[in-house]
Amino acid sequence: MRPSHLRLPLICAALGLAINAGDLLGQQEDRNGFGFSGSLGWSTIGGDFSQLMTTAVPGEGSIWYQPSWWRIGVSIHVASYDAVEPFQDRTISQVEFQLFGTFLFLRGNLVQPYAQVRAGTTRWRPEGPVFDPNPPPPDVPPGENPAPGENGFQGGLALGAEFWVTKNFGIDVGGLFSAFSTEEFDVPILGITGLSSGTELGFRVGVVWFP
Amino acid sequence: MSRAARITGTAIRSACRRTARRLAPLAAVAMIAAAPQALQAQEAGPRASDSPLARGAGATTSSDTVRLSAFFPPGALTLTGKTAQAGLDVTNRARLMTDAGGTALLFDELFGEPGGDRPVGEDVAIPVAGAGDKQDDGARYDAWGAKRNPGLAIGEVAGVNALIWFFNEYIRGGNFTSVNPRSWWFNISHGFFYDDNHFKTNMFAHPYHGSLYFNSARSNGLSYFESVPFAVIGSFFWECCAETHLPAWNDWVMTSLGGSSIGEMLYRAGSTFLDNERAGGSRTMKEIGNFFLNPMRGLNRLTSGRAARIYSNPADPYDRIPPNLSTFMKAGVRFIGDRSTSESFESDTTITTAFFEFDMNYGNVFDDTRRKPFDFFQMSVQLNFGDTETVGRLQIHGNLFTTDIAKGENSHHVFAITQNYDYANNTALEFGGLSYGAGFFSRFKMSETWTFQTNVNIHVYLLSAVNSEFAFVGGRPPNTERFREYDFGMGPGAWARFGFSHRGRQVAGLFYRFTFSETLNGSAVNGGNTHHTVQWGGFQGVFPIGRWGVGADVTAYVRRSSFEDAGFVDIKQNVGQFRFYGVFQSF
Repeated sequence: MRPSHLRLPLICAALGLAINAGDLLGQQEDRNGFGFSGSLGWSTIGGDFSQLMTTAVPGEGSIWYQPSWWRIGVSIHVASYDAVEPFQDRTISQVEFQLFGTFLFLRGNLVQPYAQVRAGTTRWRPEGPVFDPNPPPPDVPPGENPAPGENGFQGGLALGAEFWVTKNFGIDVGGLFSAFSTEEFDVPILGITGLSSGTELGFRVGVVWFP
Repeated sequence: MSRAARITGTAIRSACRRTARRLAPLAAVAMIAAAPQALQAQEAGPRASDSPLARGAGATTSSDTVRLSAFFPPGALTLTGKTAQAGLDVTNRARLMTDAGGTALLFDELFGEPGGDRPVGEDVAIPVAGAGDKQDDGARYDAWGAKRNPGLAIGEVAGVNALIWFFNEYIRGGNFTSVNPRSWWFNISHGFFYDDNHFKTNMFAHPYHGSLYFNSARSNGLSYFESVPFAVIGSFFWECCAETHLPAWNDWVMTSLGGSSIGEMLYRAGSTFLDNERAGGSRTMKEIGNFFLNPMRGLNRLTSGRAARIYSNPADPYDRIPPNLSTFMKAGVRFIGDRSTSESFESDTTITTAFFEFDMNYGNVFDDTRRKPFDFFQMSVQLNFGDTETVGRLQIHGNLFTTDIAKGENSHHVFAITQNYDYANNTALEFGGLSYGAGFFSRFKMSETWTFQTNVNIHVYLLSAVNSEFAFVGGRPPNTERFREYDFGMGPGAWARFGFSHRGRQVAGLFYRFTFSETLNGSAVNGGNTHHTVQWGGFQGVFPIGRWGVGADVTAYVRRSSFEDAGFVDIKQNVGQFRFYGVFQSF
């Protein structure tokens, strides 16, 4: 038998072993309760907002409750997107508060795929001396921002898998897509006005903790 | 039954209840004294017959109270609640007289509900602290019944940071809140600097912020030393990850260590008026008062149900109202020179303001039998009306470690390691800092009623802040938005206090304090050597009239600032202050 003929069976065997390793090792048991997760990632922007920014390194922290084969939780997602050239060293900040539901497949296994539906608020704000007049206008007190943020809503989907290293600790790898809509977002210094919608596509790598 | 008979019966019952209420405290004592065998029926919890209250009760028993004790058949009475051992509040002790067979109902019928409105007929058994939680779950509970829960404390610290960040981002519109992984890495990789916030923000508001971290842990069953790391780590995460400004060393020190001073003081102060055994409106007011004084503890008591549950107070009085607690309220006027113009004490401009001062001597360093951290501390806060800031002064000097050195018939000497938080922001002085020191307390008995006390302390400031005319010239952090008016530094300090006390109350005193601050950030240009010395001293006298009294004090504030290496003229600032006030001793 040629080695290429062995590839598919070996991959299937490896996947099967990984998926059922939890049962074999008896490490992962069906658990319910509160847990935490945190991740870093990379994302790119689409839609109206792609005129203004390009990519970001987002961070996310979540607290959730798992009563069964699903979880419900809240998360905060923050990122700073690079501005388009020639202002690529300037950033536009993003903060999102989300409510999410996660559906766990193959629960109890060492490799635990999931699908996550999420929705919440989004807030975008330009930062840096290009977007913030520097020095700030005299009527702006120290510590306050002359370029206020714009608020909106967002919703999305994340697909991934958790790899449980110990009984309480796992690695989360996933990809996510979301769409958002905000109040009209203007950056007059770039001649950009009226941005109100966009999409995000990215991936994340993080940790999951079941205390 | 005729209407007259009903009225007469009601009047008699009412009179009996009134009489019984008046006699309730005595009755409680007498019941314990007259029925010691009954008290032995208690299965769990401390026996009242073991308590100091019970042992000393015989001398106070009267025939009336003995007769009242007949309402309680032998074997029926129990005294639950660890606080019964304290013997602090006889009225409260009366409410602890319960049993399972209906005696409690009789007791309530007789005496009503002195502290609240518990419905007649309800089971009034007072469980011990922590009851209602799973006492057999292997967890540790503190004296107030709070379950030791570091995980919840971590969550609350994170919640405090999140809440304050949310306020700054969404409501205030701050320009330092756009945090993200890049800002976290930038802050961590660039390290600590000194920031440009106002003196009040850095030296008072940040320590209060730190007290929230501290009390997240303290009110979740952790001790003083166990709670300090929560303030340290909570403050670190705020500095690195909740704002885009570079982390500030001054913020970290004052928020974490200053926060632990304020936090422990607020925790102890709240404990003096919280009362788990009380019900009704007075209990509600105490819980609300504690919530405003110490929001994290109030929140934890509320969410755990302990704010509404009736259960015993801590068994050890040092966990609630320590022996020898004394508090003083002073109100009066102060006359003060203007520091902006004064190179001599003869100022052309004299400022007159009203002031209110609250002093707390928590415990007695000589007589305390328990010596955990902050079992003895001295706190003084002064509010000035018409000065530069309303909160003009806050000082908290607490003992972390205390031990006797020598104890004789007429003298007593104590050594202590102290943690000192100082904040003064008024016309006379702008100075603040956090220091650790070693101190000696001495007491000499001069007669049956008079004592002479001394206290000498030598300490080192981890961080001090002194007003400076040239603080803006050097060491400014990036993106500075304003000029700072004060220098940050480190250095040694010392104080000496001498006082005469009559019947335990100080009536005359002399004090002196010295601080040296080598400037680390501010007017130290290009590494130049600039420093400040701040001294203040004076004397005070109080004429006590019962709990009341009148007093006066004179204080001289002296600042010498040397900017020689920076090329500026040295500054000499002398300010005098005279205060005249009325004083009330509330404890």
